[in-house]
Amino acid sequence: MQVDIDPLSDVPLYQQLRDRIVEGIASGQLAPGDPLASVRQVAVAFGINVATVGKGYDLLRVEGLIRTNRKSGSVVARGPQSGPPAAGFADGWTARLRTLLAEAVDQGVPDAGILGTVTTTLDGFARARAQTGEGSAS
Amino acid sequence: MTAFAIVFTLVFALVLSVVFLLMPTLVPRTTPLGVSVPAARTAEPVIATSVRWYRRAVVVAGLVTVCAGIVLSLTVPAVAVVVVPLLSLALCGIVYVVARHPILRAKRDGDWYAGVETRLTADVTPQPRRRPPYLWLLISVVLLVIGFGTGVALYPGLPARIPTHWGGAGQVDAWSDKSVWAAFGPLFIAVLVALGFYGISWLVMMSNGRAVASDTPAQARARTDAVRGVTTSVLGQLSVLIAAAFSVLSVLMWVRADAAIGVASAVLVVVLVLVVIFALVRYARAMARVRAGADATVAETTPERTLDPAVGRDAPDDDRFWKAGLVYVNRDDPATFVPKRFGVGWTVNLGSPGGMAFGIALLLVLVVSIGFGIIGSLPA
Repeated sequence: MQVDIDPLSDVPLYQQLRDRIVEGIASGQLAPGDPLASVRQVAVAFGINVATVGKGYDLLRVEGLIRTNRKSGSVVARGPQSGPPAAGFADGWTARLRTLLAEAVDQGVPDAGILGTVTTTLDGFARARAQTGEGSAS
Repeated sequence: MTAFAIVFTLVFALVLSVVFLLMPTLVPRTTPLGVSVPAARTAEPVIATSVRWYRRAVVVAGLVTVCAGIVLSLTVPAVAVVVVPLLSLALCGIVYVVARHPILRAKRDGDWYAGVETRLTADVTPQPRRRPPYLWLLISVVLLVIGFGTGVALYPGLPARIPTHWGGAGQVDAWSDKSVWAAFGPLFIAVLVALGFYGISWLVMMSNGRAVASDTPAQARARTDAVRGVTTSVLGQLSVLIAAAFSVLSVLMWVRADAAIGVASAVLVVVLVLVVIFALVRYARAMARVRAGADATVAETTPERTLDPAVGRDAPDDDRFWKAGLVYVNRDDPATFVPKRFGVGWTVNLGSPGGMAFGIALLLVLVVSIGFGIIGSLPA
C-alpha cells in the first residue's frame, strides 16, 4: 500500500504514518496477517529518520493494530472483522471524537452535516473494503 | 600509441557528450538540471532556456576536450589517456553546475514553492523480491569455461615467457615468466567481474525504489521495474562482454596472434559503446512510457482521498541536501544509496554511515589509481 505523508504539515510525520495505516486497515487495503515493511525499509523508502518510523509503528503496536516479532517482522494484527474492540478503547476514542465533533460544532457545521460526513466516510470505507475484497479474490 | 590516444580521446568525448546531452530527457520533469521544481512550474521559460544553454555548452565542452585530446595525444599520448577523461568529466560537471543557476535563482526569487502542497510517498507493504535474470551469468560462465578449457589445453605448449601487456598498436610491451597467474590472470579477473556484477544485480533487485511524488502506485511500480530491468540487463550484458573479451583476448595471447589483438580490442570498444547507448535509449523509452502513464492515470488514487489532479502532487524541495546538485548529504535519510539527481543509477548518501564509508573508499581508490596512472605514464 502506497502512503503519502506531508513533511511540511503541523502533524508530526510519525502521526501521519500511523494515521494512514489506520485508514488503510479500515478501507481493507491492509488485512489482518498482511506484512508491513520493516521500520528501516519504510524509512529508506521515504528518506526520513528511522526513529520517526519506529515511533509510528510503536503507536500502532500499543493500539494492538500491528504486532511485531523477530521472525516475521511486523504484521497487521486486527481489522474490522476481528471482533469487538479491547476494553478501554472506547474511553480514549470517545474523548477524541468529542473534541473533533466540538470543533465542527464551533465552526457552525450543522448536526446533519456532521452526521452526513460520518455516513459518507463510513460508506467509503465499506465500499473500499468490498472492492479490495473482490480485487484480492480475483 | 598516438593513434590509439587520438581514437580513445574522440570516442570518450563523443560518448560522454551524448550521455550529457541525453540526460535532461532522462530525469523526471520536476528536477530539470537537478533543481527541484513544483510540477506546475515545469513549463517556466527559464527552464527551457537553461537546458538549451546547458546543451550548447556540453557541445562546446566536447569540442574543447577533442582539441585538447588531439594536442595532448600528439605530444604526450600516455598522459592524454589519463587526463582527457578527467578533463571531459570536469568540463561537463562545470557546465551542469553553472547551467542550473538561473533556475535556482528564478525559483528563489519567484518563491515557486509558496502554497504548493508537498508529500513524500512510499510503499509500507514489503515488495515482492525477485531474482535478477541469470541468463547473462550463465552465458558468461560458459564463455569463461571455454576460455579456461582452451587455456588448460594450450598451457603445456606455452613458452617460458609470456606477454602480459600490449600497447595501443598491438605491440607487446610487458612480459612475465610463465605461471598460472600470468596465463590465466585476465580470466580470473573476468570471473570476479561476472560474480560481482551478478551480486550488484541482486542488490538492485532488493533495493526499494524511491517513489517520485507525482507517481501513482502503478507508476511507482512501473518506474522501479524499469530501473531494475534496465540496470540488471546492462550489468548482465557487460558481464558477458567482459567474459567474451577476456576469453578471446586470452586465447589470442596464448597463440600469439598479436595482430588480431588490436582488432579484437577495437571491436570490443565499439560493442561496449553500443551496449551503453542501447541501454540509455531503452531507459529513456521506459521513462517516457512511465511519464505517458502519468498523464493517463493521474486521477487514479486511493479510494479514500481523491486528489485533484489540477493541484498537482509534488515532492518537497530537497535542493538543500544536494550540494552543487551533485553530492547528496542528508543525515536524516538512512539510505546508503539514493537515485542520482541528474543521471541514471544510484549515488551515495554522504550523510549516512554506510555512504560515508563508501565515499571514502571510492575516493581512496580514485586517488590511488590516478596516482599510479600518472606515475606509470611518466617517462622512466
